[in-house]
Amino acid sequence: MREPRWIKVGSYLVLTIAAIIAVLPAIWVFVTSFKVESEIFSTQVELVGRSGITFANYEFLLTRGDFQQWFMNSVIVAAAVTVIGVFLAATAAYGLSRYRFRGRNSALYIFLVAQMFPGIILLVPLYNFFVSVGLIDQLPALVISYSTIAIPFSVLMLKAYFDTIPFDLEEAGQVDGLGVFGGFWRIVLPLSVPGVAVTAFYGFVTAWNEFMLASAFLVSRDKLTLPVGLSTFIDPFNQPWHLLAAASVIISIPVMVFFFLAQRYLISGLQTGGVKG
Amino acid sequence: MPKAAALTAALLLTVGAVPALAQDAPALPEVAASELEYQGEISFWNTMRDFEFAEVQKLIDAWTTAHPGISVKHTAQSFDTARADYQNAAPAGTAPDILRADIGWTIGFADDGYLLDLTDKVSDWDDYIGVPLATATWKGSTYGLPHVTDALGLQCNKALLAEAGLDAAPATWQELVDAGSTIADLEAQKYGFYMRGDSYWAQPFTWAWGGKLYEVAEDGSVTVTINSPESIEGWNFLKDNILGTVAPAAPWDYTNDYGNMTTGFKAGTIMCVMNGPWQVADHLTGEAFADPSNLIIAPIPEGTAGNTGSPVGGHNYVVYALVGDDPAKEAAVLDLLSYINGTDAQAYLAQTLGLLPTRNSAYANEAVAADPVISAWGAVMQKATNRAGHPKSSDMYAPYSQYYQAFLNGEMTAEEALAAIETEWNTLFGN
Amino acid sequence: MRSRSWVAWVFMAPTLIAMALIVFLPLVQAFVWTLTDIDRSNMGTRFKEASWTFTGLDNYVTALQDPDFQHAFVWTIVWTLVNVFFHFTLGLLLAVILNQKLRGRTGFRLMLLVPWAIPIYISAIGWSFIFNGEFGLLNNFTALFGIGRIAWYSEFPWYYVAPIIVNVWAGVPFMMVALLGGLQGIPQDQYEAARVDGASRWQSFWNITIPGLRSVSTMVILLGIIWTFNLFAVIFFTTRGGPAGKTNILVTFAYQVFNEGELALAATFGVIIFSILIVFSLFYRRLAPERA
Repeated sequence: MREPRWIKVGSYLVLTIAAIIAVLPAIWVFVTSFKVESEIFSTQVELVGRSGITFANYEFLLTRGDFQQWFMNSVIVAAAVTVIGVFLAATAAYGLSRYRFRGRNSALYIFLVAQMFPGIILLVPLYNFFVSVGLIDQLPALVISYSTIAIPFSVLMLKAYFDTIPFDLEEAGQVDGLGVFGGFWRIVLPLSVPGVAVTAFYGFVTAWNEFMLASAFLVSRDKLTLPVGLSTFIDPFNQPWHLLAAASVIISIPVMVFFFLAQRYLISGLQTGGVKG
Repeated sequence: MPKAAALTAALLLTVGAVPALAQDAPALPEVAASELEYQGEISFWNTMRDFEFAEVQKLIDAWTTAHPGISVKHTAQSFDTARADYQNAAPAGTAPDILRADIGWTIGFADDGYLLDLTDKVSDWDDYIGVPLATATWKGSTYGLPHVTDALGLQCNKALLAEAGLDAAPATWQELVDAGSTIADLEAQKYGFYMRGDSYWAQPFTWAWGGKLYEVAEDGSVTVTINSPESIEGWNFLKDNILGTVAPAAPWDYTNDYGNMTTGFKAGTIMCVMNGPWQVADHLTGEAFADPSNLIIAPIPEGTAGNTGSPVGGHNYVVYALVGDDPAKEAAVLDLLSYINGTDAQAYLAQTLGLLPTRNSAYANEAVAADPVISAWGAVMQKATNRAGHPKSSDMYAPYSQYYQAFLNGEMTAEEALAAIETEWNTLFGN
Repeated sequence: MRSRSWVAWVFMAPTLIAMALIVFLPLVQAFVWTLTDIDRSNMGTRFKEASWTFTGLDNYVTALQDPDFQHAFVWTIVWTLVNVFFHFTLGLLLAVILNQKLRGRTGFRLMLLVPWAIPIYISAIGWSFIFNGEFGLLNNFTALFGIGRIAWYSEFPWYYVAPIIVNVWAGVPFMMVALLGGLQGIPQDQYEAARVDGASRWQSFWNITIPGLRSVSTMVILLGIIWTFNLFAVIFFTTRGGPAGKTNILVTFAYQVFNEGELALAATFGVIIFSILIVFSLFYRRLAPERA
């Protein structure tokens, strides 16, 4: 269908404005990260400060023990959560997808409901729990917490994805001698890469971005993860925006790379999960 | 409330002196030789900012060099979250051996049992100045070693003062308003003064008009006195005369006002600000203070009838209670503290960072006594107001700020806001 | 479909154990604590004996009667509805536009995905820089247009508007992508048939597109509501709940209460928040039965 002129022009106009709005704040922070500290704030809008481009902010962060430590801590926690989260979610989702058993509907409902837990409801008792097992100020406390919190959404997402894979394939596999676990591992999982990608991404992002639990469970400066570490940069008496800008860029890069590489899978995984249910 | 008069006995009373941090780096004090059994690590959370932290690190390095076998894990903990972090860590047994605790936190931590009772473990209590020492004392025992003391002072840009027709910092608020309005151009972001939406900064406006915040009796009971005609008068003066004429009208960005105030002051677009000694070193890195003599330090201006006041703040070194379980470790920790908080170390930090010592003997040190920055602050401390200690005193400021901002924004009158604060404080203190 | 259901439990076991230990047991404990007056000074540590008592439903009464709580409750509802409204409408608009064959479509799509790719708290921090009352980028422009500087985080009504701007900016891409997928799932024949019947563009939109998107919309709106209701990072990293707690949504208020040491009260908030969402989701299922 040939669209009339005004729709085409209008579409480009809207897209352009939207794209500018989407990208401008990121560009502004990016540009700010290369400015000298005293030129961050000025009453004129300048892309480049009077003193030109500087890498000092990045140098400072990348050579500073703290920031590197926070980055490593976040990477460790996020990687662990991604792996554990996918394992836990995939096994449970397979069980829910392939089996009818008593309590199945209740289990599904529980997962749906568990998604709605606000972090705060777990904060108090989990803090207490980790104090008693001596895991305060230790990264495993976060790995345990995040893996579990990411489960409900991941299970529902993967189950929906598994549901779209016809059972006949596993039946055929059975004929060839593949057991239940073989069917899961060799047939269903490989076909579910987009769904697994979404689950992995979700686990990674949850762990990478979470603040509330991390701020309560981690206290020593060298144990902090990135969100908590960065929040210490924002105390009322000291806001080093030049460093915050550079830190924002550094922190965004892994996620953005992961995101843009995987976006095709993510989007198709999301759509399958979404459309089918 | 007792004023910090004791400090002045040791100081030169030069108001508006020319400040300059010591030009030649003073030598690190010598470490006293001592035999320590303990081998291992001592953990130390320091809430100082980077440039201050580095100096304390030097002191620590000197000590560890003299005591091989002991290492000190000295971390820069964020001041904003340190109290919450300590409260999360202490019950779990993972609190640091030493914490640089704000005086407002010390008594609360002591009351919860997190701190080691130092009363009988330290012998030179007499050397400490009374007011700071009181902030570490609770129910007859002392739980911390006062490390620095401070108060808000008026810091001004000499060149801008001259432009406004003043040759010294304004002595009264009215003077500041009159002079400031001749040079202020709010549209162009040039200000005679910059205010904060944080209640810590509102306190002078009660004291300068003769009012008081609260009083703690011997038995620990608290009388709330903030809601008084004096406070009302002071707040209204702020709103009617200062804001919108020489300082931005409310509301301004309350979240970022400290940073914005500092940025503007350093850039030379603000004539006077209220801030403490902790920021002086940073101010001097600003464009406007390339010539350090351009920075004037003076007591907070008077309101009416010769009254003024600014809140005394400061920090204490406190020791985690669990350290007491290991006598060898305890001895090592106390030895470390006796060095980094000793007379010479305090004098060293005074000269390098402009931090005000808490030991009488430190003020007797030649270099300190001659330092104009320290003496300028001495004048400030003389007029500063001590805030009595109470375990819940740290929790006062949230409602205080809340209603103060409601007043600034015009949502409540001074009477209503102060009455609301009074009610909240009475609930807090269980009245 | 398989029948040996005990195997199902083997698959479910790891997850169920983890959830029992880390979610369900703590939940029960949290609930019990809401019936006490536990705070940091009476909770009982190795340093100080426990001295808390059971107080029944006092915490709930205190919470529900607290004007700050009520304010936070209302604002949380407004916050959620306004955000999801804009997320959906703008997401739908962009999805419809992107569904056409346009030149540079991929490029536009990638740019529009940027807000989603950036960690949410980083977006909030970045926007805070832009919102700075004295020196921020936005205020540099408002001055140009003669509006004068706005104290985004301290002035009414801007302190409500600012976090919404940030969250809408960050949340539209997700809706856009989900709805785009939904649009692509609508069979083209329906549109062809409509055109043959002489339907206008608007009519096609209302009668084919909207119904065709129903199951996707239902799900993303539900997710959007739940996520926005519980969204801690944006409010915390922008206004911090200020000024004076006015922009606190329930979850940030609860965090503040936790940091003030009121552990039982914080848990109470958690239970209340959770209950609200459960009740809501029950109603939602009634209204939108297509979504299982």
